[in-house]
Amino acid sequence: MKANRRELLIGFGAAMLTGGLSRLAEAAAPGSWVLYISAADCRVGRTWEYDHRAAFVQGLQKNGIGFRTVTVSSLRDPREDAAWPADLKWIRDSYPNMKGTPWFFLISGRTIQIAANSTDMWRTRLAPMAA
Amino acid sequence: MRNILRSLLCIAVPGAVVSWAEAGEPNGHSIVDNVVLDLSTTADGVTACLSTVQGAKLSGPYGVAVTALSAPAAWDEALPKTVAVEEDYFTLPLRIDLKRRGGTAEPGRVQFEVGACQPQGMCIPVELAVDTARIALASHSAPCAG
Repeated sequence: MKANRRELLIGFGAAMLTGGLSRLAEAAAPGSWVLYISAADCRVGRTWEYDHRAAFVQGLQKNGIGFRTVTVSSLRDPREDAAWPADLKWIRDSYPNMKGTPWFFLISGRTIQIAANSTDMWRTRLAPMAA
Repeated sequence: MRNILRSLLCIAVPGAVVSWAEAGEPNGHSIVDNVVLDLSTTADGVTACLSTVQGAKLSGPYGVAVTALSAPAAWDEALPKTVAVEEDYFTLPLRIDLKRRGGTAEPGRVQFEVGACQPQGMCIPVELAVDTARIALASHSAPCAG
């Protein structure tokens, strides 16, 4: 029995897909949640909220992943102390060079699984979790 | 040996020109994080022209903060000052005129801070500083014709 090239490619693709999904599942373990950092003067963030936020949060919920938001006054200072709840400050403190907005973090327990600092990175690294 | 030296020179000179043009401020021209600042002298002060490359945009609500890093008394207005608009992004090129205090030609360092929204989907603060002494011999024509 000889597998032809097409079957091999399909098999390879399936293996890649399975591997990718299992990695995603690992990253988004039960109890995981996404933290979104936005700024009042960041139009990129505002546009993302308008275009994608509702569907993304809904998809996350469907997969048992939570969602929280921190909104800072200005993209000048995404580390603004007053904007960060006490229970989230450890995330901010993990990124001392945090610059600009938006930011997206996938959190599992006390571990940052994924950090994305643009909507492009969100699209490739976090959006699949809401699929 | 001469050929090797010539080759090295050919590599080194364009490299130096590129880094000088990108990081330096020859004649008041700077590019940082896709934000372009051109500063030129006018009869009564300087004119800053802000624009972008690579599809970046300047946040309107964030505004443009102008700060005199040195010799603040040389300017005919209180610095720092911020120019902001309600629209999502500034219409570019953006021209900002700064008038000198009567007859003063004292050089100083001026900084422009903007919120630069990058095509990758993020907005970051960008600071561009220019020494006005460096533009003393620059073109007197208005740089913001775009």
